[in-house]
Amino acid sequence: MLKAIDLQKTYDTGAVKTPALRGVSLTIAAGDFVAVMGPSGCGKSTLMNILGCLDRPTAGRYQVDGRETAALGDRELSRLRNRKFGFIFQAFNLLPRYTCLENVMLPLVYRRDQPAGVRQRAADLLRQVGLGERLHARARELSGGQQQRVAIARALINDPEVIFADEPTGNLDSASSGEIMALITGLNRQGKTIVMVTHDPEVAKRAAAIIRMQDGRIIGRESC
Amino acid sequence: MGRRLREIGRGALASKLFSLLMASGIFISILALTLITAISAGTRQEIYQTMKGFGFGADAVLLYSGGGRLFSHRRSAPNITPGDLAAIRRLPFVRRLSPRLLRAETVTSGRRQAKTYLYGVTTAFTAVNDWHPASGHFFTTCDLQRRRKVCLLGRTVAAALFPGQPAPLGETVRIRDLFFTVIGVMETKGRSRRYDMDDRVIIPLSTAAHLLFQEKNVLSVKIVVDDPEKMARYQQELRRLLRRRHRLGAAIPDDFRLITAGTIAGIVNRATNELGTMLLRIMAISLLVSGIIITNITLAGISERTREFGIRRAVGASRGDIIVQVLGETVLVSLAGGLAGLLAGALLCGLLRHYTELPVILTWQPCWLTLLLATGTGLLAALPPAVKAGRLSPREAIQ
Ligand SMILES: Nc1ncnc2c1ncn2[C@@H]1O[C@H](COP(=O)(O)OP(=O)(O)OP(=O)(O)O)[C@@H](O)[C@H]1O
Ligand SMILES: [Mg+2]
Repeated sequence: MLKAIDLQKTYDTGAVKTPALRGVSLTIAAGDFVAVMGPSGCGKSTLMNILGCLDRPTAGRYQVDGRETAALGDRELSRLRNRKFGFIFQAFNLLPRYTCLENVMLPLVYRRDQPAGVRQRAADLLRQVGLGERLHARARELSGGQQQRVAIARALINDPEVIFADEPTGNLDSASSGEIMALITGLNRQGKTIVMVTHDPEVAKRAAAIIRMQDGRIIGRESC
Repeated sequence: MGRRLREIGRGALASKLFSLLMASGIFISILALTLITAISAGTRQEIYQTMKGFGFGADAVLLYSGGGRLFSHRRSAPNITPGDLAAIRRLPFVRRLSPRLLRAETVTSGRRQAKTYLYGVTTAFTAVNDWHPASGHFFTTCDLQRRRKVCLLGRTVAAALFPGQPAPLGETVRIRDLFFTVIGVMETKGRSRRYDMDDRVIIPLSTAAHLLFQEKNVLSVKIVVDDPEKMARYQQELRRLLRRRHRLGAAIPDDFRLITAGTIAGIVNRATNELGTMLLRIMAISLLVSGIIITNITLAGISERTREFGIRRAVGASRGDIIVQVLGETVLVSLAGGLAGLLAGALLCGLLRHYTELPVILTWQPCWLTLLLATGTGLLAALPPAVKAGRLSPREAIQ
């Protein structure tokens, strides 16, 4: 489903050029649960951003369902992010003034068609992640674990095929981490493809495969 | 669509202080616009009404004693002689003429009195001014020849001297030490703000000239010509004739004035055009300032909202969606400011009309202009920040 061929990414900040990816190739099939691990600064987030179409590679090819992303325009990439992908970030990235329900429904704003009963669906999703009582609470009033659960519900609202999670438990205590990981594992069991970056070997154990990176390269892929 | 509009509305309300600041510039410009258009429309209408009140058609030219500015308030001594009148009458293009002697007088009836204007006119008056008695009849050539002491009252004077008597025909009024018989009451002409057309008493010119004022000249003449198209040429001819008759040397300015509907309209147009240009400048400057304020505030806001835009991009907003969001918010705020300015302007106009003498007329014009200018300013001002927001890559924005 996702296929990267010799991806390279160099950040160009004026004077300094930082090579973050130095030729990464990988394939992710539908239903996979892949954990990406590696030392800080090795390019995990960079890879995730390119796979999630939040950024474009400097060189190399990336195909989604066999389509070259290089050939896709901004609108088409946006549509991919809206419908096919869901994102969970380390920093939650909710709109702090919006309520849980409004945050979950945010992706619907950027969708042309409006399926019936979306509000009900958003509420159901929040109930599934255990926030049925806090539908109208503002995001900034929630704990980290609760915010991440809202983010999961938001990632699911358009029923995407792939969930990208960049250190989803990075800012959470171990109890919350466990709950979040249970949710993510459950999603994979329901058929969602999951690409997750993590530092935590315990967390990585939940995945079906682990991709190890170092210095902008993949140094190994192992199944658990 | 609805959801997007809601997002724009929320965005506009997110930082109320900044929105208020942005809206206030537009508010002030539109307020000024509304007031100035209302006052200029009012002034224009007042001038036109006054002209209409004078019965000033395109085929009429008013010859007035005394030189100087067209609408000089200085009262000059009558200097249009009977010889002038005869010479004008002989001009081939002159169809009718109505000479006039005019003075402020007090008219009494019993213990009532009215300070009014006394007009000595000829029988041509009714036709030239299209103004007839509502009751009774106008005086005749015979009355004129015999210098009879008959008079027609304007409605205002009639009401002052003979309250409750719609047609006081046959009554007597006293002017100085002469007694006049009322033979008619003129049709109501109405009034402009400064000038009451019905505040007058009309008597035969000869009576006024010989029995009251001892004045052989007339103050003014209204001349009706055969072809209004040739008015400019006729005016030149009249001027030449009068300069010759008054023996004015080349260096000496006119001692009379010739006023046509054209000259009045010209003055009105020039005045309103000047006002219009001034208005345009004020508007342009204040809108420019508002625009600059809006651009800077919005730009600052974009930097603060980088993360928000990144989040929106991540969940599926395109560059265009972000640009529309920023533009929409600003246009909404500008429009709100503009509409508030319009409302405040209308309110102020109402107050002005109620409590002052200023002529104000509300027109639809500022409404359209408001929509146009507020939207335009908002759009233009928000363009740089919108483009900046659109350029943010989602990856950058979310870090
Ligand atoms: N916007 C940027 N501009 C310049 N350099 C960057 C930028 N983002 C990342 N880098 C650099 O690219 C390299 C890879 O960064 P990346 O964020 O992908 O690492 P990571 O594996 O996610 O690290 P961490 O585990 O700390 O999150 C690093 O050397 C980093 O400093
Ligand atoms: Mg990272």
